Amino acid sequence: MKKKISRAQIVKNLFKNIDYFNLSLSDKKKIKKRENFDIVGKKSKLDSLDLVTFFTQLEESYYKEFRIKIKLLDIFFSFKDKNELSNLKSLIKILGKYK
Amino acid sequence: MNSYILKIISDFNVKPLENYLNNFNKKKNLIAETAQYGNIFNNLLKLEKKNKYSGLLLWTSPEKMIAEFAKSLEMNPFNEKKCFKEVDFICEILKKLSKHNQIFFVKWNVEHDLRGYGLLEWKSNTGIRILLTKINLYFAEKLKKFNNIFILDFDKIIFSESENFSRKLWYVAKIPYNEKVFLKASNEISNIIEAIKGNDKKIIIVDCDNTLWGGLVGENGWRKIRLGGHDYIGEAFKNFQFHLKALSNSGIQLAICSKNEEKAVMDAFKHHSEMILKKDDFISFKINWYSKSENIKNILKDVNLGMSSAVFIDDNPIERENVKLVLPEVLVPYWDDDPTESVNRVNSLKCFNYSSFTKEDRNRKKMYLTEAKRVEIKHKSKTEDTWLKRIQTKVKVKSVNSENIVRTIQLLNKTNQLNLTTRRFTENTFKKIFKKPNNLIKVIYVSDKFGDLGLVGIISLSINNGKSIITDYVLSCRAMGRKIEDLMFYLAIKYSKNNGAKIIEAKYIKTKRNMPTLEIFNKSKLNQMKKNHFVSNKFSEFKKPKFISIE
Repeated sequence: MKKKISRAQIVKNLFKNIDYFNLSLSDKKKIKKRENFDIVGKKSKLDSLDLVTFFTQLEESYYKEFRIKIKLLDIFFSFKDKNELSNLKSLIKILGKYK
Repeated sequence: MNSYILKIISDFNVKPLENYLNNFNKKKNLIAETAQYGNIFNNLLKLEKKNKYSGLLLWTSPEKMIAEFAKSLEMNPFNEKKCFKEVDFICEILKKLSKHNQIFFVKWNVEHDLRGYGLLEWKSNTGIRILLTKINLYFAEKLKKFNNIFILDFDKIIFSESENFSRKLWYVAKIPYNEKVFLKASNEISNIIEAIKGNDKKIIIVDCDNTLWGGLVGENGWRKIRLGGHDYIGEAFKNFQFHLKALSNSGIQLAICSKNEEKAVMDAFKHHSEMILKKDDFISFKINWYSKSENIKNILKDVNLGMSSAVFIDDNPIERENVKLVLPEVLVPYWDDDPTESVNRVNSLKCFNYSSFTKEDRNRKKMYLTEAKRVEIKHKSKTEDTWLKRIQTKVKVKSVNSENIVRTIQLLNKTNQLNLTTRRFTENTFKKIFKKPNNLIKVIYVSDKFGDLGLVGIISLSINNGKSIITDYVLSCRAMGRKIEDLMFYLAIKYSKNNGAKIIEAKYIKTKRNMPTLEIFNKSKLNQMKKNHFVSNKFSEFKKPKFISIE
């Protein structure tokens, strides 16, 4: 039986990835661990290379931690669905959909 | 302090490496810039002329650099000689570039899971791995005489975990490795550059009980300590000692700082049959009940080394915290009571790098041990003059030649305390500067009745229109305090006079660590005209120190 992943577990894993990823970002670009922080879109300070690196890292970490394959890059590269990754809140929502 | 600007050239996306280097090295003034990835040869050709970069880091894939090697990856027949010919071409470019820049070249490797010819991978003229190994060896042999070219082996970083290769990142962004690889590589590169700048560690100060061996030697005696034998804990301590001995053989000094009974410790070194380290492997012992920070200060004073040159290893967290607090410049790594981790811990310290290796490095331990004998006589002598007379110092002054150039540049680049301007050189910039007829450089060899200290001093002058400027005044810490400093002023005056100078000047450039130089200049016969600016035209005031003979 598949174990349900709680929101708290998702957030914990996400924040751990943010901490690690922030090491590679300049102070201006660092991701703040608050739900309304913009990651994709006009308001975001992250460039496309930052984002693909972050999403790949998150996909790999998610698989390692929960044995679930998530496809954030597909969403990121899809023009239509891109807004679903606009901030941390929406990202957590997407992660919650994978079971 | 001048910034060290590192240009990273790669045929894949190395932006994450640039980010890590820049984020973690702000205080060290290390700035990394990446060139547009791909187009390696174009990028290199652009840099053939003098440029703003201190160093170039090349991290490339063999199949992109060597067309003949690419055939092997396609499992097509290849010609080894053609591969070497292509390597020759790359070497020629690197040699040219090394005239202006330090070159760091990451050794080529193949993907971790490359299967190639399986069982035949190590069959000559068939296997891909054996071919690349030969190419790497050929490349290293070709460049071995170039002191400005360093080959970095990142295999231990790249192959530490199979997940370090990220095919997804490669397909998405042309980044072959995950962030862990770049983070570790950034750490490695910044440590290497620090070593080149002379900021590496020179001495390990160790505790004894539960650090060098298991148990308390003072309470139980040397027979009951755990070291070697049919005991995994004893084996772990013995292996740790073996690693310390190897570091010591490579020029890193060892000293003991232990709250203990001195006799008990010495008995252990003398009598324990499994003791790898012997008394003579240590250049200083402080075995008493004083505070460790005080003892460390005294050890470093005895051997003329700065606080930032030292690493302190102790299993006791209270002692470690105390040293960290009182002597923040000393590196105090985490150390717990599990000796099976000791070798890993010492290997993970990235502060022992060698940008050059000379005869002086190999003999350093012997030199420090003879220094201890000198100090002993100094304490017994009533006056400094009596001591100086007894040690019979002899000095040889030479020009720079092919035999001493590596040591000269190493001394210029590594000396921090007694260094007037802390100018750092590559071999080519050094040759270029001292080729000019008005620039003069002399190196100083010192020996005495206890032994040979080797090349320990450098004085360089720039002489123009009757004015002589001391451009470098460098003395190794192990030769300090025996009037060589005064002899160097005497020599500066002598060579200035011989070259028609009527006035001599020196401008002290302050760094974090060269305060002793200012003290020596303040005590000299030079007059401080403006802040840190010393002048004299009274050449006759500078005498050769008594009791030093020049051969």
